[in-house]
Amino acid sequence: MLRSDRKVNFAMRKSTIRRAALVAAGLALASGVAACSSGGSSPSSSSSGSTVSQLNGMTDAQLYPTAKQEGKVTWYTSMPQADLPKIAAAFEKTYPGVTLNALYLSGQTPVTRVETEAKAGSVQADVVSGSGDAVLLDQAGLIDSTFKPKDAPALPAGLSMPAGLASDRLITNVITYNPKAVAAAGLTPPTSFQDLTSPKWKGKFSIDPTTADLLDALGPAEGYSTVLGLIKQLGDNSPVFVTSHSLAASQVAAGTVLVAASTYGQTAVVDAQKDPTTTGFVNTNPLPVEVSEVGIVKNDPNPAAARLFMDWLISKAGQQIVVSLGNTSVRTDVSNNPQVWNPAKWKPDFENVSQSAAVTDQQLQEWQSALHYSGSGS
Amino acid sequence: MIKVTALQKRFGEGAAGFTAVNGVSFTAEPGSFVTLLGPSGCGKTTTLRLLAGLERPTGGAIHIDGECMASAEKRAFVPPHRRPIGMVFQSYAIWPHMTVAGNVAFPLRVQRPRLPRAEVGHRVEEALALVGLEQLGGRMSTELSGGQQQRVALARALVRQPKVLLLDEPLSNLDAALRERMRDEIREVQQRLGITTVFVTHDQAEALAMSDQVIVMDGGNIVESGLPQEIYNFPRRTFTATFLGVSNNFTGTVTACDGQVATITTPHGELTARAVDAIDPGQEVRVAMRPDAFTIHRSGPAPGAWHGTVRFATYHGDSWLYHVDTGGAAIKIRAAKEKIGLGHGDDIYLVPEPGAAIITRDTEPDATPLAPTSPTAPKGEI
Amino acid sequence: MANAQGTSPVPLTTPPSALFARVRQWFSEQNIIFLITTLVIAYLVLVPVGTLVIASFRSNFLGFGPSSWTLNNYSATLGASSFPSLIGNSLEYAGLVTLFATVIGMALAWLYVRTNTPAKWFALLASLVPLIIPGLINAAAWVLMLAPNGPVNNAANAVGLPRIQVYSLTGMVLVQTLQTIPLAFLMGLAMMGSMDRSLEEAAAVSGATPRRTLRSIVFPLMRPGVLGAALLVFVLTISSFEVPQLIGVPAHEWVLTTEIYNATSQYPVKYGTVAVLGMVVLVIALLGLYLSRRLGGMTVRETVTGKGFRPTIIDLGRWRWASFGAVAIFGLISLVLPVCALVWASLLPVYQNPSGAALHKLTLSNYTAIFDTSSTMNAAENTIVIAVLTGLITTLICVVAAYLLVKTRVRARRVLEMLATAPIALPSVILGVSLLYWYLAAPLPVHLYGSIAILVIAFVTGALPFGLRFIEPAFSQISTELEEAAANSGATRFQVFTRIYLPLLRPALTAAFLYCFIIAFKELTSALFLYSPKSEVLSVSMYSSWIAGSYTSVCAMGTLMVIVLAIAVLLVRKLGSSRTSRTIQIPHVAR
Repeated sequence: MLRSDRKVNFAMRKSTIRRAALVAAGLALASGVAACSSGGSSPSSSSSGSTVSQLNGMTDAQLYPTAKQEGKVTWYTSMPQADLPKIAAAFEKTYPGVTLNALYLSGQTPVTRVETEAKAGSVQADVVSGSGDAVLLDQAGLIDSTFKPKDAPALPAGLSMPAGLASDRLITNVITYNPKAVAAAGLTPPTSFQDLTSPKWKGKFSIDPTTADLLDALGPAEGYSTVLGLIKQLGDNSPVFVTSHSLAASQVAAGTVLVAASTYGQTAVVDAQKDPTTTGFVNTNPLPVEVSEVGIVKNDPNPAAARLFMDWLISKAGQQIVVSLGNTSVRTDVSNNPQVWNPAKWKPDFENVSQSAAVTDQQLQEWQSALHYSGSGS
Repeated sequence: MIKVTALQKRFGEGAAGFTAVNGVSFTAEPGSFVTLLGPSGCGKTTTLRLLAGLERPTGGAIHIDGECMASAEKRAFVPPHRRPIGMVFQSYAIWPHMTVAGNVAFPLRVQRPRLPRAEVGHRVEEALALVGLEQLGGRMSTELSGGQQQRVALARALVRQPKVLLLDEPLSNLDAALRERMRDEIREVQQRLGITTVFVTHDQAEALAMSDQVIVMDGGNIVESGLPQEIYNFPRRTFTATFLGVSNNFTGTVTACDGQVATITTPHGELTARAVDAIDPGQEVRVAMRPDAFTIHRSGPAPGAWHGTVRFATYHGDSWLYHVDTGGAAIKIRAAKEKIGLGHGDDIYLVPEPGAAIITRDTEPDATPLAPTSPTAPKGEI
Repeated sequence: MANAQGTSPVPLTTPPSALFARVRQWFSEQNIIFLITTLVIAYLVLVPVGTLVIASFRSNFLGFGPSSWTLNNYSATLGASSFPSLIGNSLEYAGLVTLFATVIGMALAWLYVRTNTPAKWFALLASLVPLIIPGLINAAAWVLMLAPNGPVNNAANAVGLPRIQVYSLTGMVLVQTLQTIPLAFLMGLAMMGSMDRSLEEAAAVSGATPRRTLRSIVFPLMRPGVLGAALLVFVLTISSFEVPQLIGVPAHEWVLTTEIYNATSQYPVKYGTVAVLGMVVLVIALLGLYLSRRLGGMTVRETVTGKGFRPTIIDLGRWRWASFGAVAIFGLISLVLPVCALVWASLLPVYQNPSGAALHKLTLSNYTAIFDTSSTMNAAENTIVIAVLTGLITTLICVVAAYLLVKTRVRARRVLEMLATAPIALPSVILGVSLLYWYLAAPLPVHLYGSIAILVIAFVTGALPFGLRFIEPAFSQISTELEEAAANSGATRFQVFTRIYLPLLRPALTAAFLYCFIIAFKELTSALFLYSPKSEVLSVSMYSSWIAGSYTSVCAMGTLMVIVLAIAVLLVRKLGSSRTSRTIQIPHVAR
């Protein structure tokens, strides 16, 4: 008998399959709703029902109970990953019951992430800090600019901050080198960026092409085209590309690269203390200084906790912790590490915090093309 | 032409091993068609592969045309590509990436010293004509039907005029009608060329129709061998008898024997059998009877008739087969042509044909095969 | 029609009109199941890709202003001065890896299947274990080993060999090749292990020497299969991300996948460019897969016959020790060295080259830190939940799909099959990006971005073809007569499914589940686009840690992951190879 002749006749217990299908569809819908409610964000009001403007008017003591109800605050930051647990411990000690969920994100990832989350209607970041990230978000309208931090310090000359933002640290850019490896290669440690343009360093130093921090910081004070020229020379000297400053520092400490031009002073001073034979660093004069701004994301899921945290971060107590990790603070009532911050010895060149995203982007393109870094379809 | 001596093939080691061929010996005369017949797993294909050189024997020796092809004792082994053989595989093993002509020409092309291209072409044409595929040389081999592929395989095996032709169940993948036709064709070609052939099959009809000598195998041993007529009419072993369709087997006691005829009493009744040697009365023997060796009496008992009850009947086109309960066991009776009007539960009276019974012997585990032409077979074995 | 008693029988139902009857028939149970399954799979596969296609033709996609149809994205991206070198680089990288991986993989398969190389189990181990090492971890281990000051270069320097620069195209090709050889090896095994032995024996009895047989019969027959395998390797390599990102980017060697990731990490995100680049990868992948199937298909039909004989083993004589040596060296390089580097690094607080002094610094602190870090434990929890869900959902969808493909005669079956196997052509990068786009742009009532659900969706989509690959053959082996017998005894389709098929399919289902579990566990690329702090998974944690420079932490996480995956694989093998549920077949009459 041909197969085509045979049809299997199943007992048609009326629509068991149909019923099952309906049940399945119902389940799918239910789980979708469940996923939604766990993924979506309740816009702009805390679990207590207070609006943002109300929260902006509260003191920290008033914020604390609501923050405890919220339970956690999510912070996107470019501060080194190793430091984050210490900051979390200090914050949680001061405000028990509010967990700090700190995420290390490098480059411009905090910005793209928050933007994506906002587009998706599912904002998860509460506080964003980093060099330029909060500014870009502010320019995109994603920062709550009506927020006034409680204990915002005065800013040094030449530095201004958009509304709603404050500075959580100053990031100095230093040249880090591995003394053992440099000596093994028969070289002497570099003392300036100009040094790295000489042929003996060809291919032996790394630089981070994903942020134009040197250009941004040195440009305004030393002349944009001069600095760009220097960068071009560095680019012609075959630098190794490394996509984050922290990774650059690790590479030097591990000896995989001899010198890193893009490292943070804070990391360098800590690494040098841990093992001076594998990490040494140089503060150049002038010293490129990036400003890390911190701000609160609009429509974030934990607004009270966010404000509580930001207030703490830029307060004297918070900044003392930050400085103890090797960073530099804007606050004058906090003593910075003299190995990293000495305006008399190393003149700080601040980047222009308020420049527009378009200008920043253009500078980034020029930086990348000077370094011969093939970016995305420019 | 082919001489196989105590051939043995053992796979695996020690207790986990398995003996596929267990001391097989036979001879194939030049130009003869020898069939290895037996059920699956009897070792016939392994024997063929040993002849071809696709397996190495673990014991015994193979000689073709006087030359030693393999000897376990002397550690001699001629690889398959240096044996003067042609082989047809069960799956035909036609190379799909070549044309028909390419397939057939291959044995000539790999031959050294090289043949001139013209001659290769000529002989390919001849070989194709031999199997009736003259027009199909240019076709891709995958475009052919099963029967055509088989012919290509045959042409390829014969194109370099080997001394020995080996065929491994070439007909089992064909349907019934084609099988019969190919059977005749192969036999015809073989006789025309006069090539020594070893043929492996499990089909007794094929074996009987094509062979000059039939070798029955079971469990790695030769059970019996001889001319087709001998094997069919006078099987000496119960296994052979059963395999060739002598489907009634019983045990009986000899009551009388005069050197020509033995009278045997069985639980079903009495019968007479052809006796080759003298058997003492009182001895127990195995007896085989063909289903058609009985006369059926419907009416009533006849002298020497066995009484039985019909269990059921089946129709086979040219005959009816009755399953009859008699003497506590069932036997099969074949009645030609028309139904005699017997059905389930009816009484039946059967008279066995005098002298039609065959005395057989069960195969013992270490049986020496019975082969009238084999010089090693001890005489007087029954 | 009169019955025996001579009276007309009473009709049981009023016969409906012909059209209504046909409509009713069309909505039969079988067709409903088919429709639902096809819609589900079509949604998973087509919708994200469709979004990508559309995005590539829209200006200001996902932006705040108005958006219109445009070819600008294409002209800007494809016309950029950097594009030719980008494409050239990608093809060069993929081409070199394909060449080396295929040659070495096939050679190893040959040695394994066709020769009497001793200790074959070692070749199998060395070739298969790398499959469970996530690409990120393998790349990390090699970066550490091949660092300018690393052990390999120091050793090379000591013997006077030139130093290897791992941050180079050479380094990329080297590491990716080592990762890809296992796949080529497996494909070679499948191909060579199933070649009909009688084709070679026929050549032997026709007078061809073994070498001639190889040349004229074996290699020509293998060629399409080898080419097909090579193309598959090419497609997989051009979709790869971890090696290009970890090793290529520092070396200024950009390929399509890393360019895509880069473009999504820079602000402002150029969604149009990303979409165009994604289309380029997609087209290349589809083309490669199409060609691969065309080539591979022919061989499979003609030479695979399933005959039970072992393949002819070539006796290498004394050379087999050289062969074993080659295998051992390969095993050392592809398996032993990376795993040792991994474990070594995981036991150090700060990475150092292996040395006597460093031995004093060994510690388990990285491992304890993993268990102490709540975000990592959160990621681990997420990973397990997601992997289990992926396994369950994929297996469920595949079992229904396989049933429809094998056991029914719905006419549109081909469509379902094509849809379900299409994700092989979807590089993870594309899947990640297109799902991101879709769930950002689509006006759905549920916000799936950033949730575990979206990751499950991504992983399920990617795993569909693999689940099917396990379950479809198992279905084919179960004779349909079993179903028919049950139906004739009065069972509904559902009962047949649950009482007859599912028990018989249990090994295949378990294997499929575990395989999808493993895929979901390892997956990084699509997760990078779709994760959020809530839904972080271990692969992302490891990547973030690497970028943050925490080498040793990454290695500790990697070691743990490899151990978990190894256990899963052993389970797969155990359950997959148990033929205890002997699939019942009606005996073949022809024999």
